[in-house]
Amino acid sequence: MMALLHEEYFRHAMAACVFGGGSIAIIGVFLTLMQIPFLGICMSHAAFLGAIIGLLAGQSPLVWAMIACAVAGLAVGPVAEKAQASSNVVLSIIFSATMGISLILMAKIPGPKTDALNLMWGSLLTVTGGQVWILAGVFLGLTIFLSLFYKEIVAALFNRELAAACGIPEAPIYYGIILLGAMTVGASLDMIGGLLIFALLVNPANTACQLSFRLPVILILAAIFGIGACFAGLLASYIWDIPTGGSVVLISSGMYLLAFLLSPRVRRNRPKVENHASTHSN
Amino acid sequence: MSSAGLKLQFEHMNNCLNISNLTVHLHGRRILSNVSLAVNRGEFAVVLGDNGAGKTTLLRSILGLIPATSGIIGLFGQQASWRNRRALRRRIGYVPQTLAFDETMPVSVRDVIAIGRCARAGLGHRLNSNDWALVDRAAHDAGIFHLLARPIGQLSGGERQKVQIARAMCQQPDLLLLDEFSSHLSTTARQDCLQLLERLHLQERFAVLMITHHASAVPANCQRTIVLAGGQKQFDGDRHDWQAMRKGGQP
Repeated sequence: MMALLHEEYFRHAMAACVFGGGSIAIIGVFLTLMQIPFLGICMSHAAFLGAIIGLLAGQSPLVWAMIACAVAGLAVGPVAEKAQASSNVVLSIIFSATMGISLILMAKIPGPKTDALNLMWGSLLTVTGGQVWILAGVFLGLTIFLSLFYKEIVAALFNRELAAACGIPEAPIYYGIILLGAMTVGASLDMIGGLLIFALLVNPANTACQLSFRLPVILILAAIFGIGACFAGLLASYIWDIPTGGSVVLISSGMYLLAFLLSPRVRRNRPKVENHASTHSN
Repeated sequence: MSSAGLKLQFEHMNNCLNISNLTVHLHGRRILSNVSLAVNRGEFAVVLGDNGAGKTTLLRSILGLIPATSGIIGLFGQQASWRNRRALRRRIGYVPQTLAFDETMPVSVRDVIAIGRCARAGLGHRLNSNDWALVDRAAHDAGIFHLLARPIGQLSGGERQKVQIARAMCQQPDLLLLDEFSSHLSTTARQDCLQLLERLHLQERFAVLMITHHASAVPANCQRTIVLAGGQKQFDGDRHDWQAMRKGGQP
């Protein structure tokens, strides 16, 4: 096993596990708390479309994936506002449209579609040094954003209108989170694959939410679970020669199941509130 | 700044809030029609009106959460606009009727009260020991100090409203806007919240504009009554005059 550490591709894969797994899990916590986890699906499919465009244009699929992801993520809020529709409706439309265009463009790729199919399934073992640097940059950006604006993020997550009423610039914070999410999903597309990245956005975040009521603890736990799932998935992939995307996602799902079964179940045991008047505003 | 804005600035320095001919349309429907009113520093005013009278729209317009169709909103001697909106909001405490949030949100009561200090502390600056002392003091004044570590979703309706009052207090507001803040509470919780508000107003002397459709839900230190009906101001004057008018059978 130690011999693997001397292999460059394995070291790249391990670095991608730390930076990619950690970033995706942290972004997943925000998307879960913003109650728009479906945005993850939408962005991952937009990233897939961007990568296909990159392949067709003979340019970097990763850069195009990040651009497409950012456009899709940032379009949701304003479109939902203008159309006076729920964000989930707009997400569904963007998701289906990007998937449709992706399939059509895939058919236009000449010759075997290996590269495009790799983007669907992903592989940690083929991550390059350049991609690791991009993932590290995204991870660093996310960490800086979190440490600089943590209190504003908490306010925007709690209630955007209240944050605005207090004089907090909630819109830049909200879209900053979405933009960082887009960067993370786009940069991690090669690792996990367009079809399965959504699971890594949701599973570690919700596993952590099962175990704590404190946001800083949840963020740290989610990052640990995200990185852990990637490492374990990488090893499973190497040992049993199975696709990494699938093994990473299955391990993260297993983690959620374990947390669900073994957690102190603080939520379920909490005392019932006597007045549920908080869920609707006029 | 327009001449009307300058006039507002120099003539009404004692006003916390000065609204002139405010008209607001929402979804193509006129909700407020030429409403003018002023609230002085330290004054406690209540806006009464039935459902649909335009009370909440009035409060949301003051905060700039709804754009005005026409009219001028003056706050602390300045004409409110998109340029100074955030700075003005920092001086306004706002307690909504109810607050939509995820019940499983992993934030404590202390985190929620601290939201009141966020804008005051400034973007990118951490809350300092003075900010946290103000958070603790606001919780203590509101009688919820023992709840500080609890997740906000575990609190009862009355406790949540006390958290909102503490959050607004923590902001050290010059003007407090209350939007039917006690209407969903039990009689005991409502009395509790009103007494808290009354005590805090006497202690801190900020101006209050409270809206309600319950004439009974008005604290004793409220001097002034404004009545809205159909988006128009029907009465603006001493609270006792309004009560006398009602007893005399006038509208």
